[in-house]
Formats: sequence, C-alpha cells, structure tokens
Amino acid sequence: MFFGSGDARIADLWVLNNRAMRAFRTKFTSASVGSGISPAVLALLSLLVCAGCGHPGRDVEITQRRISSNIPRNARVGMSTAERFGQSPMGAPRQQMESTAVDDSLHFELPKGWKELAPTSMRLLNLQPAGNADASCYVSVLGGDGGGLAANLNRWRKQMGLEPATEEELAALPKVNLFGGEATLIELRGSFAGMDGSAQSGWGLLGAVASTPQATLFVKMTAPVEILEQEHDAFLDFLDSLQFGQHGEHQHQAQAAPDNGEESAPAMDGAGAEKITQNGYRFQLPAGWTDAGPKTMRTLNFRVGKETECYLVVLSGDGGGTAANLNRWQAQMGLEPLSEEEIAALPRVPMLHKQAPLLLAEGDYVGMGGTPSMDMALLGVALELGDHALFLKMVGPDKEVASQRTAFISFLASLEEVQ
Amino acid sequence: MQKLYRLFASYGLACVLLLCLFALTLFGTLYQVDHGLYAAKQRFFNSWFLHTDSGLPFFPGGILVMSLLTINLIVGGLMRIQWRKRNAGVLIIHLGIIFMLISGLVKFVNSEEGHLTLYEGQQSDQFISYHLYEVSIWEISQASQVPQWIIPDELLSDLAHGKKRSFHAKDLPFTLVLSDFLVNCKALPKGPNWQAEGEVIDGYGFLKLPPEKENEMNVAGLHAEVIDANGHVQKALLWARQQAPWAVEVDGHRFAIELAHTAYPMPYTIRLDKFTKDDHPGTMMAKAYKSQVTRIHGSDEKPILIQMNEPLREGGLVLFQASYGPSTPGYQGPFFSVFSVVRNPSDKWPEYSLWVITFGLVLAFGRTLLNFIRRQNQRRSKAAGEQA
Repeated sequence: MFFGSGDARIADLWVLNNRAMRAFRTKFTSASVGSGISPAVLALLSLLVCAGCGHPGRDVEITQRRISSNIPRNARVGMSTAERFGQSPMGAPRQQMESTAVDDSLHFELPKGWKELAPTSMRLLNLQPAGNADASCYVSVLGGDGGGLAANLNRWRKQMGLEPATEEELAALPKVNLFGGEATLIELRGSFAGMDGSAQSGWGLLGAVASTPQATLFVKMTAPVEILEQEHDAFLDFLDSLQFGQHGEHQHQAQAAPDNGEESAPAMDGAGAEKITQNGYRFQLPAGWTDAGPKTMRTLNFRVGKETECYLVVLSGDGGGTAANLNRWQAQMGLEPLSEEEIAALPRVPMLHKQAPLLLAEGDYVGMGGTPSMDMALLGVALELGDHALFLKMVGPDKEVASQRTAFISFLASLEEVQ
Repeated sequence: MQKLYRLFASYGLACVLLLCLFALTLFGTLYQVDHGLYAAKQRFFNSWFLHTDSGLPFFPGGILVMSLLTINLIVGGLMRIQWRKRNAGVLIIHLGIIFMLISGLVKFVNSEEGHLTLYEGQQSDQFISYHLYEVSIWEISQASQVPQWIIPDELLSDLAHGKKRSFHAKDLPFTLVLSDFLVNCKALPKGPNWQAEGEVIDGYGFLKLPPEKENEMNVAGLHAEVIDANGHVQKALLWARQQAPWAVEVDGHRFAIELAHTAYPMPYTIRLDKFTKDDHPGTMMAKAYKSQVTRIHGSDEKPILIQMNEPLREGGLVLFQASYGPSTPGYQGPFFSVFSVVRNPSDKWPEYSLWVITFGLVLAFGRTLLNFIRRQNQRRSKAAGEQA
C-alpha cells in the first residue's frame, strides 16, 4: 500500500531491486557459483585484517608540505636549550668568578667550571658543579627553623641511606661561615636516593644549614664522590661568597642577633618600610606587591608581579579546618590529598606569634573558572586562632611564585592583627 | 562460501556483535573514569583490537565490531531479507543504521578537531589539534609566508622505547632523525635527583611523566638529530612547550625545527573583535560568554557572533565557543577566547540517518498498526454479521 498506484516509478524500481536481490541471493547462496562473489568478501575481510597492520618504515621521505604565515619568529642558531625552553631568562651560564645576583638579592661567586641553572620554586639558586649533569648544588630557604637542624640532617642522612645521627654526632659537626654568620657543615657519603627512589652508590653530600628565628637557609651539594671531593674546596669558597644584596651582611647579622629585641623580617626589599594598616591587619608590603582592591571573601588582596596574586581570607571558627583547606588547595593544583603525617611534616613559618604550616604545591591550577592554568605554584598558610582562622594564599606561575617565596614569608612575619 | 554468507547474515552474529558493543561501551565508560575520555576512546572505540599490557589482542575493538556489524546489516538486513512491500520499513531502518555507521567511519577517517585561541584583535587562518602532534621544518627567513615540511603524528607517536626514524626530502640538505617520543614529559636541567629518559643534551633531559587523564594536558617530547651530507651531527631535544624552535645551520642555510600540536589550515581567517563574559552575581563564575568575530575571506569581511549553542558553520568547519582564559581567580582581563573547531564531512549525516530510521520506524509500525486496525474492523464486522 505504501508503493501503490500513486507512484508507479518507485514501485517499478522496488520490483526491479527485489528481483535483483533475489537473483543475487540465489547466486550467492549457490555453492556452485559462489566464486563470483568471493573476491568482494575476501577483499572486505582482508581490509578488516590488514587495516590496522600498516607500519611506516625506518626511512621516510617527507611528502607533506604547506605554506604557513603562523610560524614562530624567534628561532636563532646557537640558542641554548635552556633559552629555548624558557628556563633561563638570564641567558647563558655565568662566567667563571663573575660576581652575580639572583633576584637582586643574592650575590655569590660562581666557582670555576660550575654552571648556573634556572631557579625552581624551591631553589633560590640552582647550580651544576663542575658542569656535570649528575652533580647538583642549590640554595633554599624555609620559614622559621625549617624543621630544625637535627630533622634536616637526618632527612639528608636518610637520602644517603644512613642511620639517624646521635646527639653527640650532631654536636660535633663543624661550623663554617655563611651569610656572614655561622652555619653547620654536613658531609655525608653513601647511596643517594633521588626523587625517583633509585639509590645510587658511591655518592656524597655536602651541606650547610644556617638557622635564624625567622628563616633557615640550606646550601646542599650532591654528586658522585669523586666529583664531590674534587669540588670540596670550591663549595666552601662558594659558601663564603654568598651574601644578600648590597646590605646582605647587615641583614644577616640582624637576623642572627634577635636578642636586640627588634622584630625583623627576613631579608627583603621591603624591610624597613612603614607598616600599612588595612581591614584590621597591619603589615609590611613587600616590594613589587600592590593592592588589588576589594574582592568578595578577601580581607587583604594583592597583585604580585605580573600574574601572581596573594590574598588573606579570614573565616570564623576553624574555617573548615587546616587539613581540609590545605587539601582543598592540593586539589586545586591537581595533587593528591596530604595525610595527617604529611601535614605534620610541613615546614612551619612564623605568623601572629604562632607557627603555621606552609604548603607549597606545584601543578596545573584549576580555580573557580574551571579552566586549568599550566605550570603554576601555590604557597599557602593556614592558621587557626580559636574563634577565627586565617588563610593566606599566593598563586601564580611557578617561576614568579618561586621568586616571591621569601617575600611571602616576610609578609607573614610582619602581619599583625589590629584590635 | 555459503557458510560465510550464512555467518555474516545470521542473527547470531548480530547478537554477538551487539553484546560486544555493549561490553565495549560499559568497560570503555568505566575506563574513562581513571584514564580520561581520549584514552578510553582510543583504546575501546578507535581500535581494531583491545590489547593486553604485553600487546596480545584479547577482544575486538570498536572499529572491528562496527565494521562487522555494518557487513552483518548489509548481508543480513538488505540481502537476505525478502524485498517485499511489507518489509519496506525494516529495510529502511537497516539502511538508516548502515548510514549512521558509515558516517561514524567517515568521521573517524576524515575528520579534524582542534581549537582556535585568540585574544581580542588577534586573527588566525589555522586551528590547532588538541591531541595530535607534528614536527615542522622551515628555512628561517623574513618572508611573511614560509613553506614548511611537515612530519605528521602517525610518523612520530610510535617512536617510543628508543625506536628511531629518519626523514629526508629532496629540497632539504640534511636528514632528520627522530626518536624517543614521550607522550608526557617535562624538560629539566639534569640533576642527580632523577633519571632522564633518553640522552641528556646541553645539560637538559626529559623527565617522563605519567599520562594525564585529560590528554590535552600532556606535553610531548622527542629527541632529534640533524645529519648533514658530511655526516656532521647536531642534536637537540624537541619539547612541545618550548618557547623557541630549534635552529640549525646546514650548508649556509638556517632551518627551524619545531614539535607542536598539529596545525590545520582554515579556508578563511577569523579575527576576535570582542570577548564578553558575564559572571553570576557576586562570584567569579562565568554565567555566559560570547565572542564577536569577523570572518575574513579575501576582501570579504563578515561580522559573526559565536556563543554557547550558536556555532559558526562555514567552509566545512564548525566553530563552537568552548572556553576562555586565563582563569586565575581575580583576573580581570584581557581574556582570550577558545573556539573548538571541527572539520567533519559527515557532520550532519547522523541527523540524516536518524530521519531515515524514523521514517522506517513509522513505516514498519504504521503498517503493523493499520493491519491491526483492519483485522479489528473485520472481526467487528464479522461479529456484527453473526449477531444480525
């Protein structure tokens, strides 16, 4: 009825197709004439079997060409790998014994044959002793006592596969000059276990730790023993050359001598500036920080550098708890939550006469917009004060956050609540 | 041959294939939870077989199942079935399903997907793949348009575990050898705390990272060697997040070599004139965002608004408003706008196939309904006659 007399042409076609299909079916199902259809089926089966099997050879001619106007115009013969990867804004490695500076605050003399690498979020200064890729030397800073000398010594001993040091061994450690003050020198030999967990025997570690009430400085070199011994004196010379800024010596003395009763922040450009009072808080604004204006939920809100922001949120009660908030920040960076032990092991920084856990998270940050931003870092501090809790968070590109780490700790140290 | 015909025409094969599709869909969906959408699609649907970790095939993949299902529908649904008026609906339904499967095949073989990311005032005549990579080579010059040699993704992505492939072209004075393709890696100055994947070059190595769940978050890396006619070798790391291409000098000519996501040309240029974002009151969450663009084709310029659910369809491409950035909290702009771009010749075919299937269903069920009504009328007439 659907192809009735109303459309004879369609009906004719239908009948024709029906006959053809019937003939085709008869032919195909007949074993005697089956060979007539077999090539098609075989071809189909061959296609199915072979479609995924094609592999290009070892030597291939490039046949694809295109004309493009959207090409990078910054290609330059002789550009170093670090420059190409945007990890060496300072350009080529520094020359031997050249007086150098990082972030205009850290001066040092680069030993002969050593290379300066790009700093990371944890490393104020990142060097490659003897130009050897297996050797590493860096300077880092943690707020407060950084966990204490004993804890850090034993952490390094564990990395070298050694048992924890006794109190006698700790007391017997030699002292060296660092930033114009005294630092503990640590020298270890053993099997070095790096970040990937693989232990490499025949390695050594040379380190120096200088503690002040506000911050703890670490200088650490790891290398195969023969390189370590070869560069031993160079390391000590390097330690001796380290100083902060043009007034570094003065700043270090000020930190190393808290007994004078003055509240002093770690060495910062903003140190000495007048304190600002805003929304019930008084603080010293580090150099390069600007007020970003009011924002919902934010008691203090700063723009730092080009793309980094730092803000203080004050919540009533415990604000959901320190652990929950630290793990919320972890999640924003795409990282796994921290266990209670990991939170307890976080470095502490001084804040409002207490010690607050400092979280450093690196990854791809997903904020409220939902779109991830790549290669970001987050510095966060949570402090519960009974009836209210404070959360200070800095988030931005990892290099910018790395360069502002000391400023962040300095800002924390300067922060006061105004009644 | 008769057995083969019966096999391909059988309901049994159809049932097995549909069960396989069910299993692929179920386990593909579960796999997606931990491994992301792209990995799930590649493993379960864009594959001939599912393989064990050791590389042995153990289950038919989506391509194989759907190919066999298409054959089964053709042989069983069109050839074996009686071509009669009463089967017209069923035949049309089969045709519709075959058409839908073919449209999937055309999309798989012939489609291109990517994104176009623009700040206000910027324009581009190409879009960038989310997932595929290419190595491009060009001679460094000041010309506005530069000819490039392109090595496509399929010649790169299998170069894992030390496998090498050399590339040459008659106009190139060197051979390029590529090896050690890493799906996700970070280029770092080599230090003692980690082992580099492959050779360390110029103090830098690749730290191999586990693949991200969202495949577009992965950053690929490659080892490259340029070998000139005298056998002189220059080596470099190519990283998809490098900020400048690798530049080499061979026979007095300077060439740039870059690993980047595949770029696809568009038949016109898109310029972003204005990006607008409306937030939910009191929050930084976007309620809506839209882009006012200009489509430039020669001297012809046409203003077009692209916003959610209102894509631009032109020149075989579909441009959707996908997202924006940067998403840093408190950031007030300027923002960039991200368009998802799809070139799919079979873009509308699934819709057409649904119309065909709908027509077939109406035909099949309508005929059954009319027959039922007719039988009911006959039964009532007969009953009325008997009562009379």
